[in-house]
Amino acid sequence: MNYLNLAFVGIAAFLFVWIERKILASSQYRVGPPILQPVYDLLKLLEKETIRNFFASPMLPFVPFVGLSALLVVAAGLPFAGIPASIDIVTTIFLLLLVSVAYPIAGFLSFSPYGYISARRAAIQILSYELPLTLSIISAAIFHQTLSFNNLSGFSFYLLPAMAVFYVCALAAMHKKPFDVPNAVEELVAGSETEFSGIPLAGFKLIEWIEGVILAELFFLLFIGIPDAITHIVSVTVIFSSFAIVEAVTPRLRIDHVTDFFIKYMVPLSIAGVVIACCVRF
Amino acid sequence: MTFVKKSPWIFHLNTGSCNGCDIEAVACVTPGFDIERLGAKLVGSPRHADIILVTGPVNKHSLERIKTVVEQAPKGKVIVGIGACTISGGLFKDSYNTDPPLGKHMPVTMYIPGCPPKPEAIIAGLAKALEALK
Ligand code: SF4
Repeated sequence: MNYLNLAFVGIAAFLFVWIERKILASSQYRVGPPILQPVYDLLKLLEKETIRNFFASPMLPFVPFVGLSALLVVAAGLPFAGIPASIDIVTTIFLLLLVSVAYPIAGFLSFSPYGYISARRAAIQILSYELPLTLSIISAAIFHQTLSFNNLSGFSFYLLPAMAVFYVCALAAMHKKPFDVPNAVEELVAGSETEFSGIPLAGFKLIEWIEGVILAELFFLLFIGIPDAITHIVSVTVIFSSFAIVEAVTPRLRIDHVTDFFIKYMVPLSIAGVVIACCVRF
Repeated sequence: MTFVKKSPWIFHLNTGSCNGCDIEAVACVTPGFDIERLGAKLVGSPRHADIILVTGPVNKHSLERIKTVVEQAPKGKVIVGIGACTISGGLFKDSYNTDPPLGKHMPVTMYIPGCPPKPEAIIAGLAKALEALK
């Protein structure tokens, strides 16, 4: 257990979502919310009524917490400033997939047409980005000849294709702007979260906020990887802010364009990344 | 201490208005006014709503739908009527198809008068409606 990283992720989740909303607001010449706004939002959701949908499965309110606990396991396992990792790369890939799958499952179970459409789109999107995401992580593992987070040895130009693929796939995994097809608020009300209120909705919000920090942290560990607390915090903040800037300046793609983009460009690029890493090492 | 006052999520419900009030209500989230400063945010689902902004004279076709939507919001919701239409029927007072005062059909916490009210008036009204949230 790495309590330091868990504390960092916990604080950063709230701070980063505020940074993101501030960046979005300033890109539209607005003022934006106060710094404690995410905390207020979460506390308010915790004290709201949890509505039970009569038609939906009784297990429905527990779905977000499966994803949330998987995320917290990853957060507690990643290395932070010299403290060694207690989970390896394969476990991380598996747990992150569990987090992504919680969203469509909630949509399918929630007995709402919006949730159903959103869940279908999310499932298609997972099928598109999961292969290049995994391949880009694997090319980092092959390049550094390790499956543990402890022996990763920093930045290399040979990993640039894998880096680009990981960045784009992270945007898709977080449902950020060019790839926010599953939770497109203008079309789908609130996506899979439409039928949720109160504490389960708070669970979904926490997944959304923490997943951003974890993916930014993974990007730092796999491709930059300097074991120093200040560098770690500053780089993760910069990476997350760049996600928010992309969110602010891009429009939404259609679901078939998303699939096209990942199958036509990201999969070959990630395979190229694996081949480059193999050529360098073997 | 209740945190609803710090983060009121607003659901916008049109009951057959002329679209004037809707434009002014949506203008509240635009750069000039920006109710996100107060922590407020427009949400798409009534399940997430704390404040329900209702515009328009209640017409007979939409009445059942409005009631269903309002029932779907969690407890502690506050209903705010915008515009002369919700108060008296406004322009549509003598229409065969409307059933005006909104308060006849559901408990309305406050009305914001005007045809349409300015965004400043809507924000002032919302700030007062926050007092009623608990
Ligand atoms: S109050 Fe005036 S502006 Fe508002 S919906 Fe009625 S007629 Fe339109």
